[in-house]
Amino acid sequence: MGMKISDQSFEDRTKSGIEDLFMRENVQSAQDRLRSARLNAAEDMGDWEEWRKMGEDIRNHTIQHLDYYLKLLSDKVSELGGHVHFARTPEEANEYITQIAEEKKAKSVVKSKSMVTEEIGMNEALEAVGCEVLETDLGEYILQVDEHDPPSHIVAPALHKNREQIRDVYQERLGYEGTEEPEELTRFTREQLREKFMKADIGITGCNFAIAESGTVSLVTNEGNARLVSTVPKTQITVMGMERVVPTWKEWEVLITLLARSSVGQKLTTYVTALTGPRQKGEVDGPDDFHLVIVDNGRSKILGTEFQSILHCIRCAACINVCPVYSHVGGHSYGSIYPGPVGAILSPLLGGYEDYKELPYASSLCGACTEACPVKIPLHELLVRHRENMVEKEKKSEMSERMLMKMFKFGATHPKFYQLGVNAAEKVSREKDIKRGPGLMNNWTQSRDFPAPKKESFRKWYANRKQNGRSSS
Amino acid sequence: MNGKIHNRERFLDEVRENLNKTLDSDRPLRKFTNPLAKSKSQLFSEEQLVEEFTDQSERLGIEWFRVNKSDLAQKISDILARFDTMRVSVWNDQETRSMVKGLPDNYEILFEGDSNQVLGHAETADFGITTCDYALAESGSVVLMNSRDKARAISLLPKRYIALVPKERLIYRITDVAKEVDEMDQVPTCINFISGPSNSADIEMDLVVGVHGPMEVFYIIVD
Amino acid sequence: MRVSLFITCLSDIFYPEVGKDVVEVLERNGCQVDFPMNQTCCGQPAFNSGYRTEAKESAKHMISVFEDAEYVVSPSGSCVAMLKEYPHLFDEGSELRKRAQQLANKSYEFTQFLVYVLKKDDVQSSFHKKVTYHTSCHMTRLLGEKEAPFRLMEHVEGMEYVPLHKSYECCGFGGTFSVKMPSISNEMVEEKVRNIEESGADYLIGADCSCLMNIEGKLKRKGSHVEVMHIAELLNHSSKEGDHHGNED
Repeated sequence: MGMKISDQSFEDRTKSGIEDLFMRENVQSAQDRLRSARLNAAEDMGDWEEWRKMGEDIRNHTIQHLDYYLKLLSDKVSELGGHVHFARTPEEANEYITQIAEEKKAKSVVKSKSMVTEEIGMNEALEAVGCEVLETDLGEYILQVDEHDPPSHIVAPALHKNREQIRDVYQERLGYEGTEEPEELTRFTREQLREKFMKADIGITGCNFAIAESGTVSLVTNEGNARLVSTVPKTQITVMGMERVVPTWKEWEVLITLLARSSVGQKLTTYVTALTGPRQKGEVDGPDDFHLVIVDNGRSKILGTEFQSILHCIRCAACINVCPVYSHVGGHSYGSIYPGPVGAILSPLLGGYEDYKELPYASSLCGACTEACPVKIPLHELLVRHRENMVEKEKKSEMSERMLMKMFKFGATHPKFYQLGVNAAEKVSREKDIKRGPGLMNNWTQSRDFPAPKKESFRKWYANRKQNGRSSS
Repeated sequence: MNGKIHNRERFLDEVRENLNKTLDSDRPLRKFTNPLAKSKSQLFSEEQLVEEFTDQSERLGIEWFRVNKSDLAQKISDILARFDTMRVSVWNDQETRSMVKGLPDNYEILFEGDSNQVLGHAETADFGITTCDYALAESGSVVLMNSRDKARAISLLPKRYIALVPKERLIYRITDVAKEVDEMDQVPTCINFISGPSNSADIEMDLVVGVHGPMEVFYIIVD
Repeated sequence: MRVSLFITCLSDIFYPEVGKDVVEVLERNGCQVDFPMNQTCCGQPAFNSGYRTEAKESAKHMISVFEDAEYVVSPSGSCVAMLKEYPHLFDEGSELRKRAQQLANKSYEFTQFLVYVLKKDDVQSSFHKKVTYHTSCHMTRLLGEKEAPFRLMEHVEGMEYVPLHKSYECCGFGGTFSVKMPSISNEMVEEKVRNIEESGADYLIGADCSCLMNIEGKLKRKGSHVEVMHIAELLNHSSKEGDHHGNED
């Protein structure tokens, strides 16, 4: 499907988001729960701020030396008998992956959750060569069964759907006959998928962190699907965004700690799995073949820019879970598989301003994201950087806004002119608030009153008071 | 035999170019140690670790027991008897084999040492039993270093799972494990940190247990 | 102690009474208050919209306006946070950056100044009403000030404080966000106002005129009985002649 998930305009998307009251209620209750779970898990550490600082340092260091660590990682994986493919584009990645599938004459592929495989449209590529690709994360599976409904959250992809909708989809597509109870739906999914797992030719996983020094890839899940994917099929392919690397096990545990606590408020997720190479001689189970695909897809262009720190992201979704804009418009409004604050920064970088020009403005700059980020990415500042780019480099801002800002600059730097503005405001003063304003102001007054300027501005009051000798100086 | 590496130089050149740097000749990182996780394993007494571990396990919905080694077989068979148990899949390493000695013979006990059978056996088993390499007090986790006869599938495919936890394997947190693994010459192919039964909250954030892996998890701490 | 007041544009034009209250409270607590007439806007509207060049020009102007000030005090957490952003607008090691840093160092939001510089938690005010408080985002997250207003409110005689559900949520103002993304902004302020009404408070107190303007606009549009009040007004309350906020018991 690629990163872009909609051809609708931003206005249309947000409009349907705002009108979807069930989705919003579900999103808000999820946000509330995840928020307090995260805060409790952070407080439980006692020195969370220092952990965040440590996380920031580790990410900063690793990305600064990314070439070194990727080389080390690939050398180690190779020493263990695994194969590594560096893919600069989605095409390169998909070509390599489909080639493996063809060599193995694979009919069926099981997959655990991976955002980067969505980004590169891997499923479609595999389907085109005749593979059945099955998502095994419960949320992703539901979306897949529902004719590839796009994900709306990077950790809880089906957050926008309610149980009745899921029941109906299952009934229609899978002949499900049970109720809408999550337990029953889940049990049914387990049975459907277990059978597929046992027959699958290839397992494909994402990667939360790869450990360079030992050639390890690690996966966190609560469901255990990533374990099945990497245990049952004879061939394993792991696809990772190139920034998902850490130097050693010692840094790894810090990031795992930050990830589990920030994303779901758990001390550790139910399963944390660290896989180091294919099955070695004498081992009872595990894949015979292991392939690691390292994807760039626009990431290297972010290096060395003011946006480099977005590559520090560990995909915990803490920023999404506190974002008030996300809470009212939902994930699909962002038009990208990466929603929320991180999505508003990342999507234009990977997909260009043309498709995602509104996203940097879809924020009140309240800073809740920055406060929540476990690796201290200054998210709201990066949104401002995007706006600067659009104004100064891309010249994408509206003419009226540019005029306004020119006037603003003149006023802000010429006190006399500013004073004239204040005087003018005093002149239009009136008793009542403004219920319907002209131009842009109408966007405000459509839903709220705007105060009328006061007859006497503060500066006039102050000047009079000073003249009357009541000043303290 | 070494695996193949494709397309690396061009890819890394581009990374380097954008970072505006040259190739690091040496390892760029000063030796990192996590200064915050002062090893509580050493500060906590064994009993404190047990207390924390069992507390956390309860929160995860794990039923735990604590027995002397001599009562272990009885305790395992008590648990098995509570369910409609027929087949039990067990790690084939020496330690686990010796720990489950003395189980009544009304169960079919499968020691998983044959790579052709392990998946099929584990898939149909009612219980999986393994020991663990570490247990983490902070998170109520068991850590399994799967290798040779210690198959990954045993803690994953059976309906229910029992982890045997020798008391001296208890340490405080993941930091302690990472430190040990970091010092190993050869890292085990698969290390699993397991904290409770398989679960998901993907449907309306409602927590459901038993999505893909075991639906119930039991810990037996062995003194 | 010599204090230079930075009034902010919103307060200057729409909420001049807030400025008067600030002046009176400061004077009562031993400060000489000066108001540099050449002051304009902190530049935040331009900065947040991506007009960095324009924001820099405002910053240069404001740096020179307040060059001689001993302290700069302002009744807005958001605008003070912007003053503290100034150094980042200029090149490292430059003269302007140094001057910007000096301004940042001596700038305080009004309640911060009372609590940390004047060391006053109690400014002898009284207000016999039930209130709740809006913790504005820029004040708490960018300026990092979560305590000072609460320490002051604790000492307001006769006042009953009730907590605000989801007080950490943004009110939806966000400067140009409110007119660029009006529908999203509206949903945010709807929710804020709902929580305010459900708190049971008669007054909403806040330390930023911008958020208060947004919230008040919504409250009024809905015909709510809840009134909005800047914390400077609250802290100047008992000493006022002709109480315009209703009779006290």
